[in-house]
Amino acid sequence: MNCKQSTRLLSEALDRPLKGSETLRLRLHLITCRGCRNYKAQMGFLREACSALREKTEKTEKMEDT
Amino acid sequence: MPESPLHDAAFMGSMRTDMLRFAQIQLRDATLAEDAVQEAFAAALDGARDFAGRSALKTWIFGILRHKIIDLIRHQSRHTNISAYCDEDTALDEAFEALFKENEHWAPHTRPRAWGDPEASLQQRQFWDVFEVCLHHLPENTARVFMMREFLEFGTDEVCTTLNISASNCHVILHRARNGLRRCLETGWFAAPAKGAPQ
Repeated sequence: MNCKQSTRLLSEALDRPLKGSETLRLRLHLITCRGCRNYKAQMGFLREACSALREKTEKTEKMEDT
Repeated sequence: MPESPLHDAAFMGSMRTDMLRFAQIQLRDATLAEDAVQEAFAAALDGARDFAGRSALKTWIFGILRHKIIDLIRHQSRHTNISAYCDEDTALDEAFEALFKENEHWAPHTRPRAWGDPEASLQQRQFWDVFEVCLHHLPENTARVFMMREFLEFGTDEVCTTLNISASNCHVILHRARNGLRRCLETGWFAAPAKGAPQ
């Protein structure tokens, strides 16, 4: 697996369950690739930030009041 | 017995502002956002009942707003081809391709670096300014798919069905959106010299 394929799977992992073989190949790649490990963490952070944005917009109290 | 939050003008006003923001983030169109909020308010007042408190009312009214937004998106998607590829999409894809060497591994200078403690950024108001600018920079159709998935928190299948696009197309678009957002946050925040400067 190369890095470009790995980024695709890391994104898709947020949208569908990966197949066993995909998970395995991805795991093997991540062991040796720091760049893709960072990319994975960043994808997770994007999700977290979007969810926080939603909460922040829906919440009764404004952030600055808390 | 406390007065119903429906009669609390200040509260209703601030909620309206929040609803407009919510609708604009998703719809990216001030007029459409205004329409969605108006309709949500009208529907909410029609079905007005007693609420235990402000947050119960707000949750309920945001639920209505969410439905109004989905209706608008569904309506729009019947008239536009969401999977249509625009120049901005091409630009995003080219920028992404440029991160890799010929063998499709990261080039040394483009290899993603750790973002340190990104959760700490969520507490900073300037981060949210950058984040919203970055969302806004995404091409319209790409943003629509991404926001339905991540902001309205739809399942991938629901996104595909509502927008009438294939699952594989949906994955391509979501990957593109995330790459665009990642790069924008990287340059606009995480690698920006002014980041974390004292306020």
